[in-house]
Amino acid sequence: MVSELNIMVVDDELIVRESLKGWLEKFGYGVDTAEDAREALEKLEREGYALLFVDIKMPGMDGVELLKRVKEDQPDVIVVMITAHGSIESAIEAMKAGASDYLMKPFDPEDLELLIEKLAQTKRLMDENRRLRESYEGSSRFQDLIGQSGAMQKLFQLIEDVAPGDTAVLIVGETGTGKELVAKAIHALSPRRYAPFVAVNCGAFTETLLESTLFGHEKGAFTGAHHLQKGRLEMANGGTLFLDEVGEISPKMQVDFLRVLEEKKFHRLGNPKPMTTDFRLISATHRDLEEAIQKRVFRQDFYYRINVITIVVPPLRERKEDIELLAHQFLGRYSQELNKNVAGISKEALDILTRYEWPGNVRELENVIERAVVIGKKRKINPADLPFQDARIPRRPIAGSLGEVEKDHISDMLTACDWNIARTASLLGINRTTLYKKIKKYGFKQPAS
Amino acid sequence: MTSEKKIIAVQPLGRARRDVLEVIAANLQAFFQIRTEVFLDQPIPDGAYNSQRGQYNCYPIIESLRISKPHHAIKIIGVTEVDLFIPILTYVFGEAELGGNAAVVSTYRLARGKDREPVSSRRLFERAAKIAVHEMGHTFRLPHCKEDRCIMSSFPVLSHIDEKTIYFCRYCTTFLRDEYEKLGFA
Ligand SMILES: Nc1ncnc2c1ncn2[C@@H]1O[C@H](COP(=O)(O)OP(=O)(O)OP(=O)(O)O)[C@@H](O)[C@H]1O
Ligand SMILES: [Zn+2]
Ligand SMILES: [Zn+2]
Repeated sequence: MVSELNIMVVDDELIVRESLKGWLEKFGYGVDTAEDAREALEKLEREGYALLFVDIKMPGMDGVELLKRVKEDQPDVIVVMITAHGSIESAIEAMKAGASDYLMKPFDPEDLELLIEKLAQTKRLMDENRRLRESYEGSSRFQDLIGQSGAMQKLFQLIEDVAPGDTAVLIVGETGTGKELVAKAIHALSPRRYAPFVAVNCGAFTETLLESTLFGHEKGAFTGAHHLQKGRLEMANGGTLFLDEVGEISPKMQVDFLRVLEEKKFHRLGNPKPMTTDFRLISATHRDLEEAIQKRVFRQDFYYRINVITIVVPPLRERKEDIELLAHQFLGRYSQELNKNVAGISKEALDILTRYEWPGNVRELENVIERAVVIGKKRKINPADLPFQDARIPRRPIAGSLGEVEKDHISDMLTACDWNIARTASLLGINRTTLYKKIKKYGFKQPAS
Repeated sequence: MTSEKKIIAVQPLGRARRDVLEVIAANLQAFFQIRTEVFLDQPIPDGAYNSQRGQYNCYPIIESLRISKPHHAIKIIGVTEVDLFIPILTYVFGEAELGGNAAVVSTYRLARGKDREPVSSRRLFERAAKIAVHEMGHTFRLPHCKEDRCIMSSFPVLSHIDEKTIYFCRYCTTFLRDEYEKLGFA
């Protein structure tokens, strides 16, 4: 899971808390404060913090005592002590008790910045190690394909079962569900894994172009054939050929291709000499091929050939347990790629992601997260970073009394607008006073963020 | 709200060199595309001086700038020659609250080089302009940027300042445009 440097400043002096919080927030870190050890421990129970700044001298339980408690409970939390002049003794005691470092008030700006950088690095390393440990323990044997839902676990099992053989596999699923990744995972677990995985998107070519792409052509085979070109059938020799959108192949090409599958032979356009090739065929479609067969646009004999084993990839809306996992995976990938400091998803945003129906499936989710990382300005993705504002907020099915529907709707809107009262009221088309009254009436509480 | 009417106010606090004020005003106007005006100087607010540290606390200064800001100014930036601090740090070159409307910068530490010898006026102008643009950027909600050359990256020490260019990277430019849109002067 993606980590973030969530920070808490524990100090009895308001000015120190606010000053340090303001400074840290300019670096994009999420910062909470506590005015004494008791409040700090309470907050630690409720929320995870990666880093604590703790004043050594506080009324009640002092900083060193707090440090010991924290280290007992959550040894991974990094603690930095804040000391005043003359309390160097306690600073040393604190270092022995597990503090990572200490700072003398007031701090030198450069020291403070270097320290934070160093600690962020430490945290990244700790997370990296944990991730490595976890990946050893399973889950990522299917490369980039991830999922924790029962449906995906079954899919992983099926991939493992079919991978060692050589039978043709047809992968069926809506657009963006990850059919190509499933094909790659099968290839990667098969004995052909050291040979090429060659993908052809049959929907992206005209009939003649698809023909020359698959079979290749000799120089001068047709107008425009300036060089000899190897076909994908040749390139896939020894490996796996992946025909994406196989439902788009014309009936004529189906006949040609059927012959290749039966004879394991083909010839380049413009060259009558047959060549042999040996590949495993994996096809994918988002279309209902049985229906296409009925309509006589898809050949039944070809269908039987490519569909020895069917793998169905369920749409994302039928495995909502995967949304959070996938969202974090993409968040990690894009915040690194775009060099951005976004490292988490707020509860409200996650709520919206989970409720949405995802007609474009995982690809759509990936795009939404990429966009949010690009435009997001906070450490966490917030509802405002998602493209579901206004009328496009996913609605629950309408059920129940008018009052219940209104209650749900207002709650959705508040969440989507991050509890911005003015914005929510304007989206709802009511004034702010009315909105306040409704909030009171339904007893909504703004979540502590 | 239209951008032609609104201005950024440059407020000298105590003594401040006229040429430095002009350079800051010109750079803010160029980088934020908002007209700037140099105001008449005002004394540094009482209560900002900390006799133990012999320095001036940014917070009361920012607070008084915020209160004195005239309506037609959308932001105000104080410019001073005294040494500034915030309570947790030994010194700062300038300070602004994220998304606030007042900032303050000081030339106190900018006028000298590593070996304490005075630097040329050109260098001083450049440093002052960079700090002013950076702090003003914070008032427009720009956080620190990871792009080293970007003016919004952080520079705790003087030598870092000289390495920056006065330029907003791609992301900061986008964020600034977003903020302008929110403020209603796209
Ligand atoms: N289970 C998953 N884990 C991680 N990433 C996934 C998963 N499923 C899909 N993706 C990602 O979503 C995107 C779409 O996946 P893919 O191209 O495999 O879908 P597809 O079903 O082949 O789509 P289409 O039918 O439109 O060709 C890819 O970027 C892929 O990496
Ligand atoms: Zn800054
Ligand atoms: Zn930048």
